[in-house]
Amino acid sequence: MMAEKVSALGAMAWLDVKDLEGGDLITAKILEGLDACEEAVVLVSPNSVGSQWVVFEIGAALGQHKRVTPILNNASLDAITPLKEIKAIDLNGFDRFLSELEKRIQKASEE
Amino acid sequence: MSYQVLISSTPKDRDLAENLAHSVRDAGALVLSVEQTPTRGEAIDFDLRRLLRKADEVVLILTDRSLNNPYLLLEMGAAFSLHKRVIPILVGIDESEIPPLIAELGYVRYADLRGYLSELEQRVRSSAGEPPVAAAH
Repeated sequence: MMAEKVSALGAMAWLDVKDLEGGDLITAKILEGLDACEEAVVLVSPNSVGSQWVVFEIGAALGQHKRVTPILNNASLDAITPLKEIKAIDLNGFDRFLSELEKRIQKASEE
Repeated sequence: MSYQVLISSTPKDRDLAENLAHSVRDAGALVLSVEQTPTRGEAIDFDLRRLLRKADEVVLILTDRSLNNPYLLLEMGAAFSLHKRVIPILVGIDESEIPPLIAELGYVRYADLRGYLSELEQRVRSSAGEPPVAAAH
């Protein structure tokens, strides 16, 4: 749903779950996706707070100075300590993120 | 320029980090060290970014005390995204406890450190344009 809404704005969405195929080296594919993207969205939910992959991916995005936006779905940022300093958006307010993203896409297309 | 190895650990594993730093220096590399604590203000602070960029490879000491430390995982991701060689060194962790992420990245057991140090020495020599050392038989 989130990826579809992002795509509808004209951005290309790389979704780590969808875009990985059986047999892929996960780290290599994640790096491939991050190298190609301008920013990352991290869905923080009760299912993802314990995931080492989520923290690894956030580190990878921050390492490349990419914008990282945590989207909270029934979870608190306290659950992912390193994200505490980053402004998060509640899933209910995802439209606000989309509106900000649309402005960034427009700005990038004008440059 | 010297071949630089960033050694990252938590304060609880400081002794291990210091021992490793000594061995890494003996292999001819310059050591950059960082300790990860849960009280850091930023996810990845300026100093760490600078050290990660400078380092030729990044070694992370993982023990049962630090295996799930989110800052070490974060740093691992950051180093990986900068296309650095990332080497988790596992100390006292059972095979069954190794998380899939570490298993996929590849790791070195502390007991097998000599093998890693020997490979590191070859990389140091290679970066300095020196011929490789013949393997001991």
